[in-house]
Amino acid sequence: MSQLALGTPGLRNRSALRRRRAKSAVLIGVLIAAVVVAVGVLAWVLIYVAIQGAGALNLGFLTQTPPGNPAVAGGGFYNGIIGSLIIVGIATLIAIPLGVGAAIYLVEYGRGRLSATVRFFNDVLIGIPTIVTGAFIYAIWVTRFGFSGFAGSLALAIVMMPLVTRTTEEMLRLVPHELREGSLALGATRSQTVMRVCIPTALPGIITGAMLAVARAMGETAPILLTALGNDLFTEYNPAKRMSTLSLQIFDNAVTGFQEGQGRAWAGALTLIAIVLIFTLIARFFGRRVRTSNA
Amino acid sequence: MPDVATEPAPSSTAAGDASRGSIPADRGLTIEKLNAWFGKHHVVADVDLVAPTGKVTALIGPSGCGKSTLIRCVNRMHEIVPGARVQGRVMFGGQNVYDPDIDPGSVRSEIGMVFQRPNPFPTKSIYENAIIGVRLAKSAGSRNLDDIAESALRRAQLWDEVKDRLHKPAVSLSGGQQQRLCIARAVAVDPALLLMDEPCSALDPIATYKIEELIREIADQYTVMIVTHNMQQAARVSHYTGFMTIERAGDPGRLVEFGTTDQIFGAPANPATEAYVSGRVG
Repeated sequence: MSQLALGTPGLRNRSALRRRRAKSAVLIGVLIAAVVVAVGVLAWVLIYVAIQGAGALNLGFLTQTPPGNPAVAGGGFYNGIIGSLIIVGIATLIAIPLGVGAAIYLVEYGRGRLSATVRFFNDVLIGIPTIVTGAFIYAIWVTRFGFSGFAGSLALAIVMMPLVTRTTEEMLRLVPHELREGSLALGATRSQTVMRVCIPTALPGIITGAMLAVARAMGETAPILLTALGNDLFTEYNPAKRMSTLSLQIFDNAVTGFQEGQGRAWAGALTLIAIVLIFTLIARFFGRRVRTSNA
Repeated sequence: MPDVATEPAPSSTAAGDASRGSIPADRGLTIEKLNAWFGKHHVVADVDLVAPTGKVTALIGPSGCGKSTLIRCVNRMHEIVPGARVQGRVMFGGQNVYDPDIDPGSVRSEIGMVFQRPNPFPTKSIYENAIIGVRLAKSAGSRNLDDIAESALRRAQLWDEVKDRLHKPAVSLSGGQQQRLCIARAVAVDPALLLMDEPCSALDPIATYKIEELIREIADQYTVMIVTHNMQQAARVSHYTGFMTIERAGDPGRLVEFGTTDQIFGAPANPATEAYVSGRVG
């Protein structure tokens, strides 16, 4: 009877029902519009970059260094691609173990004031403008040891680490408490529980977070300018020396004002997006493999 | 009496081996003067109880009476919650599991536990779930993992349902199958004692029936202690029953009556037990 009483207003009052349906339709419309705008802008950026970049993108672009005169067509960003891969690669090797380690500590062991403080400073670190990070590395490292790809890696590692810590922490927190208990109840130690249960369960999310950090680092320009400085004369493979990166070359060529330089900048942007996309796909693939084959 | 706030340093494969050596003499469980707290909140008070070897002992009582906490004190799972504390003795295999030189991990690997909600490890296969305890705690070297997996899954009455898909993810099983997998995981290490914390509360009646049948089957090989909300379940599966309750909200839970299941359900001595098992309260 009480259920009937709940149902009757809707049955009797058709205009109320119509109002509810209209509200629902409006809300769904707003949500769809939000999705269209969000995805649409993304597609627009990608397509625009692809169209603009495709013109100057060819095998030479991927295998040559830039021409000495930016007004000249031809040449490429090979040295920048290599620089980006080396600098971001070293930064990733520093940032991921530290970031994941800090997150494990915060979630699995950290309690009380220390971990609250660490978490607070981690959030502050995420918010620091990256040019400040670059200036910091310039002050403590570059003034002593000079510009180098490695200095760029240090700056990017500082940019990446708090992001990795944050996303890893969130993902570890999503691991159900019951799984930790199940593992401990089998006699596993805390570290065994973390390594065999928590990390594998959270792995896809951790990888996504790490790839977001890598993508972010790939695009950073300001901290690279203050640390690795750039080098367009030849391809440098030694991270102890000045190096160029894709992001830096995009910036340099975009601001030349010459159409040929801007064409190279577009091609560089397209290359950058492609590299990030390829890495993300590879990481996802391996993440899934590791997860299903029981690390 | 040890006052356990934190886990002592893992010191004792030796102690673990010693206790394992003495278990056959007395595979039963004796709880003496057990008290448990969450922070300042006293949740279990002065429990004395003997769970006889090779029998099923049920703990019944209203929600919040401390029965789950009590069972979690037996394998030292209570203390993993921050601020949780235990006082008293839990004698198992001739040894107090709260002795300072006993490593909680070795206690937990000797005593199996099954939880309210099935919690197989989602990244691992059915096979891997069944043997993970062996991999974690003991040197599997001499024994064949495939045999261990098969025998554990057989004891959990899951073998026939999964033998053709052992390497599929554990989460591909139904809820009842997952819970039987958790039982297999617990019995794979040959624990002398199996603790079950409301193992059927998340399952439908048919899955519940299978698990109860399984509990009756394995009772002669293990000492089983089961916490349950369901009095019919206690009556169906257990040989002994303890009734726990709290007098007023905020009071610690106490064991008010313990006896054979027939006696507790047929002729309870305590009026509170009588009121609960007859369905007048709770």
